[in-house]
Parts: sequence; structure tokens; C-alpha cells
Amino acid sequence: MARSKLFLIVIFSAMLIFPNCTNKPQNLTYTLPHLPYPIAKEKALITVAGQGPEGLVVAKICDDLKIGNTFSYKATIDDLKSRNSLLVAVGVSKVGMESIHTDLEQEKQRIVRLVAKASEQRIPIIMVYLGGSNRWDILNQEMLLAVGNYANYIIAISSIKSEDFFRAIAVENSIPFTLVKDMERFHVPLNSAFR
Amino acid sequence: MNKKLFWWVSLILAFFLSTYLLKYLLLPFSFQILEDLERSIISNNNGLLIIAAIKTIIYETLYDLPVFIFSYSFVYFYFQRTNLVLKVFYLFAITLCFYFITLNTYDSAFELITISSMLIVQIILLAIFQNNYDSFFSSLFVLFQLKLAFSCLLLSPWLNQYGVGYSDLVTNIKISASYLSRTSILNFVSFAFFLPFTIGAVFSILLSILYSRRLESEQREKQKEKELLKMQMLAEEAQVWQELHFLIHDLKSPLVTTAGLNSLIEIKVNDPQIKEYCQKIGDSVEAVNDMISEFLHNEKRKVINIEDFINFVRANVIVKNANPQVCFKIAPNLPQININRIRMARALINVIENAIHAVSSESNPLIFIKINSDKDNKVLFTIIDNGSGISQVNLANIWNVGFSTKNKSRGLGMSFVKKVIEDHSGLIKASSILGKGTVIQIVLPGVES
Repeated sequence: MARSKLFLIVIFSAMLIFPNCTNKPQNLTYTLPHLPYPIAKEKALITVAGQGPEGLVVAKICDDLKIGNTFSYKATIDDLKSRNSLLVAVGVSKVGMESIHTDLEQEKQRIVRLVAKASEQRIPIIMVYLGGSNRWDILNQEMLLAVGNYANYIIAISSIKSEDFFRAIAVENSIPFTLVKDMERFHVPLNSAFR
Repeated sequence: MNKKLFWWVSLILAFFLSTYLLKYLLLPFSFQILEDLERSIISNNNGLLIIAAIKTIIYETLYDLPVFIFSYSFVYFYFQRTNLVLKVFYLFAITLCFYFITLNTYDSAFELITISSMLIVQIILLAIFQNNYDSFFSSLFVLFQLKLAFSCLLLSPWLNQYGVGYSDLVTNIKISASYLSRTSILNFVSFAFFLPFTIGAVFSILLSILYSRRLESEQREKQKEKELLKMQMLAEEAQVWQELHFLIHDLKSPLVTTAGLNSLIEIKVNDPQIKEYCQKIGDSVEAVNDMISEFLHNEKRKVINIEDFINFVRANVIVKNANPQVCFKIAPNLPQININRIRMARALINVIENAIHAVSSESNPLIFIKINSDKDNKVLFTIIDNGSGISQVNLANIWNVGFSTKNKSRGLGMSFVKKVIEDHSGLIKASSILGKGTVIQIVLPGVES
């Protein structure tokens, strides 16, 4: 009886330890809690890719952090004048797009033109994703890929489903990225990008 | 087949029409929700967030409500004679088709909890209310309540981990609440609305079940009352006939006295004319005695000619108030019939009197009585009138004891007529057109010559 108990304890412990040994986390070279030095300057232009409320939320967070900014739902190339950085909050909302009489294709074109121009003018681009698992669909992923290719820094509220996706973009473009659990933890990395 | 196709096409057209109409109506409502959200973020206002949340619940309830209403209603009525398993299969198929069409129309996310729970609810409602068509609208109301309840659950951020609440507007609300640190409020609002709607729906179902059981019990009571009344009428009829029998039997005593005294007078008197009168009195008394015997004893039959029988009937028909034109047409060479003359005459008189009553309000009342025979040696009596006629509903009931369309009638006449005809191995049938007239046909077996 004692032997069988010991045997069970050993097996159970092995089951606990072994997975932890084999599933070591990857080398998170590009995962930072925040940037070690700022990469963006005020005044920032904030826009939303997909017309979700994320853009307004980011603008309000910037206001809370006293980061000078201008927010526009439909920011274009012209709005980049006298702006030192660009924040793009990705959040595709079909209802939001319908409210301004646009569709996904037009919205994607606008955003790509904007980030391309910003990149051309060497304006730092910070891509922000606040959707977590709620917005995790093909349309949002397409938009993230489109913006991610031009971004200099990514801050995302991640879930298990999206971690590898952001890691792949960051590795491909050699850019730092920060994954946070929720909105409360979003303030520090955003602040670190400016200060 | 055309009728079936018509219903299917109607269902699909009605569904598409309602879906597109609803989309057109809900679009400005969705923009209002976005505006409320924007204002709540800008002004950090919880109230606006809650208002936006409640409006989102309404939006999420309404946008795919036609799916469940149409599929449930169609299966409920179109497949009412099918068994439950087949109904469930059709319900699944139709609901899923309509649901995916709606998702495509609105370009919205697939919510597993909504579709699966609504399917389960529909199945439960079908099982409970499938044979109870009075409760259809109650079941539809329960469906609406539960749709509202499940839409409330979509708002809960806590249920995200179970794959609930991924549609566009709901996600916008959750992101805004997350920024405002109000996810706990959303959870509270979600469950605070879900529970009362669900409990309300359960109570509605229970009330409907109780109400339908009460209705069934009342109907059973009414049926029992009807049967009791019928039994009472039969008992009354039996009592009436019994009393009549005793009364008529008592008539024999004075007749015996009359016959006896008549015989004495005939013996004592010498006047030949008085003797002749006495003879006639004796014959009449004997005739009355015979009538009494025939009436008292149903099995007493005599073979008589049709003409003699009809003459006896014509002599005894009472015409009150109206003066209808009564035509008799008797075919030649009719076979004789073996009948209880008094009872059969009474039966035929009853039919003729009913016809007279029916034509009493006509401007040109007409009753036509035709008597002929067929190749099977049967005698057919056809009584046709141009009266008010009998509705098809009442036509089925005229042979029932206690049924009558006349005021102050006990409703015993036609049941008596049918009984007499059937006692003579005959047949009686009635046909009528409301407003045009009635035809009664009596068939009696003729005597082989």
C-alpha cells in the first residue's frame, strides 16, 4: 500500500514537472514590458484602422498620460503635417465603418497610404491592438498585418490565440513588441514610447 | 402539392422581407449606440455606457428574432400532423438555414450560445405546446423573452472565456467598459437582466400549461354535461312513452264498455236503421281498439296498400297557420308494405309537419311528396320542401334526442321517426341546402307479392 502510494506520487510529480520542462518559453528577445528608451515624440496623430472605439480609447489614454495628440477617425496623409508620431489603433468594426459610409477595402487603403507616407517621412509608427480575443478574426488580422509591416513598435492586449501572431510580425520586421494582459497594463508601455 | 409549395415560398419570402426591413430599421439604432459609446468614453460617464449596453441588448435581440419566430411558427403549424422527431429535424434545418442567411445579411459573428440555446428552447416549446393551438401566442412570447435573456448574456465580459459575446457592437461595448474599468458593471447588468427574463419565461410556460390543463378539464366537464343531458332526455322520452302507453291502455276500458252497451242496444232494438247505426258504432269502436293495440304493440304489423296508408296520413296531418301547397305523386303498381300503421303514420306525419313548419315563412310554400319503388321491391318516400333549409352542422344533429331548431320543441320528433323506420328495417336520410329547402327520403322494404 505504501509502495503504491509512493509510486502514484512519483508519477503525479513527473506529470507536473515534465510538461514544464518540455514547454519552456521561447526566447522572448522582442517581448518587452516597455521600451527602454522613447521612440516617438509629441504631438502624435492618433487614428483607428477599422472605425472601432479603440482609437478614441487610445486618445483618451494619451490625454490621461498628458501626451499631446490629435485624434481623427478618418486621418489622411494631409493630417501628418507637423505631427511627430503616428499611433494606429487596430479595431475593425463593421457598424463603425457603415456609420461613416465606408467599407473594409477603402479603410485598408486609407490606412496603408497613411502608414506608408508616415514611414516615408520617418515618422515613428506605433501599432496598438486593444481587442484581445474579442476582435480576433480574419479582418482584424489582415489589418494588423497591413499596419504591422510599417510599425516601429507594437503594443497589444494579447490572448493565447494572438501571441504567436504578434511575435511573428515583430520578428519579421525586427521591431519590439509588448503584450499586456488588460487595459490597466497598457499605460506603461505606451508612456515608455514617448518618455 | 401546389398548396405545399405556396406555403414554403411564402415562408421564405416573408422571412427575407422581414430580415431586410429589420436591417434597414436597426441601422440608425446601431449608429445611436456608437454615439452613446463615444460620449461615454469622452465624458467618462457610466450611465451612458449602461444605456448603450441596454440598447445593444435590444439590438442583439431583434436582429435575428425573425429566424426563430418564422422557423418555430412554420414548423408549429405546417407540420402539425407530424411526429415530434420529424418536427425537430425540420426545425433544426430551417432555423440553421435562416440563421446563416441572417448572419450573411448583417455580416455578423456566429454566436454559438444564441443559436444552440434558442434551438433547445424551440424544441422544448414544441414538445410542450405541440397539440395546444390556443397557446401558440403564449409560446411565441416565451420565445421572445428567452431570446432577450440570452442576448443579455452576450454582454458579460466574464463569459468571453466560454466563447460568448463576440459580435461587433457587443465587442465595442466591452472595449469601452474595459477602458472605463466598468467590466464588473457590465457583468452585473448582463446577469441582472438575464435572470428575471428567464424566470419570467419559466413562469409563463407554467402558467400556459396550467391554463391549457384547466381548459381541457372544462371541456371534459362540458362533454360530460352534454352526455348527462342526453341521458336525461332519453330517460324523459322513455318516461313519456311509458305514460302514453298507460294512458292509451286505459282508453281500452271505456271502449270495452262502449262495445258491450252497443251490442246490447243492437240486440234490444228492432229498428233496422238503428241496428245499422249500432253496426257502424261497433266497427268504429273496433277500429279504435285496433289502433290502440297497434300503438301499444310495436311488433303488430299489417300488410297494407300505399294508397290506403297515404289516405290515412292525409286525414291526420294538421296544418296550422300556413296553407302550403302539398302535392302527392304516387307511382302505379307499388308493392304493399308490412307496417305498424299507427306508428308509421305518426312518423310520416312528423316529417310532413316539420316540412310545413319549415315553409311557413315562405311566400310560395310548396311540399312535394313522391312515392315510388325500385327494382329491389323497396318503396321510396321522398318529401321535398322549399323551406329555410338546415345547415350542414345541424343536419348531422337532427337525429339526436333533444335537438331542435324550433322553439318550445322537446326535440323528440326526428329521433322517434328514425327509430320507427329502423324498427321496420328501413332507411331514412336527409339532405338540405340552407335557404333553398330540405329533402327527406324514407326507404321501406316492400312485401313480395
